[in-house]
Amino acid sequence: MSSPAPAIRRNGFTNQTLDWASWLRPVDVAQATPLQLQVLDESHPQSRSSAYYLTLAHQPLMLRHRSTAYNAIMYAPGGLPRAERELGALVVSVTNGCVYCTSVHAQRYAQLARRTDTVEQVFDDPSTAGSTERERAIARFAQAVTLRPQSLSPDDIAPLRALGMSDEDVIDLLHATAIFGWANRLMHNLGEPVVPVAS
Amino acid sequence: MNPPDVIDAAAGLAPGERLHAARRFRATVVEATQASHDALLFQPVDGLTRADRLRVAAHACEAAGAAELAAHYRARLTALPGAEPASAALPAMQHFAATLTTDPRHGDRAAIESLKAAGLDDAAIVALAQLVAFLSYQTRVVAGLKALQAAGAAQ
Repeated sequence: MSSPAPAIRRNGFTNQTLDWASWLRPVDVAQATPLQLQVLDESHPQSRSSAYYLTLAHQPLMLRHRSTAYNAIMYAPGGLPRAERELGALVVSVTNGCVYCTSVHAQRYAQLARRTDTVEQVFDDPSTAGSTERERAIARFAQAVTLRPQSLSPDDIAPLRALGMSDEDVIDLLHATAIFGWANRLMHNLGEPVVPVAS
Repeated sequence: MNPPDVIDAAAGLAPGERLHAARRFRATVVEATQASHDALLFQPVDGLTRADRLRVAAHACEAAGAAELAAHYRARLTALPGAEPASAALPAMQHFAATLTTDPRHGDRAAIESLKAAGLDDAAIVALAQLVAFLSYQTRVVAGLKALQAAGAAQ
């Protein structure tokens, strides 16, 4: 486990750990089918105690394919560095107003990048965020994918290629930003973030 | 025989082309994305017909301005053997889908309650939300691949 990062709270977003409460009835682990338990364990190490995964477990095969795609997009080796995939996820989550997803991916990005300056910038204004030219280009592309996907054009690709990204790298960034269009809509529309009670 | 990959077809990527191959650098993603599509639309769900899911998908893609995918879902609806007539819950599902597609910040508990009031149980609501959320991913991947295709090969 990493030590807790210094707290950042801006514009209603935080990098501190949040809980999540479902607006539906999550599957009861004690009543779950073998398939539900198998898919939960494939999806995330803590999913048996996660209201989010237990809610999605109502449809285990749908959850299985989602988790396979998600885990390959965010964690598979090679291609775009994982920190940059997390930056894309963070920018999309702030742009979509998903406070819970933002808290998780602010932590993941900071762990991989080993700094938090860009997290503060994304919380302030994702459209101008980034501590380097490469980060700014990633943030702008992530916002474009989120806010105006149907007007994406070669003008949106050129800045990424100018930084040396291959087609495979650009597709990695496209996947990491597009799948947060999926993840944010589930997390932000099936339940809500809850500030944990201090232990 | 495998049906054609839906994203390749919508983005106009043919086997042997540069981007068709570049996508396969993440073959797991390509396969899981197609498997998601197949499960979300066609796997049996109590209280949520395949035909209504295809109607919702076409409606959401139209709301997103994703013409190729909207046409794909309309065509699959037309080709569906024994397509069920629209259920009484379809207007509530279409409203939920359009709002979630165009601005996820507007999602709230009342939207979920309206689906319950229309007769969907929790498992059907999860299936519907997964479908609509997936479409936001699928339409963006297609749009990005089209931009990459239009950009031509890297110099």
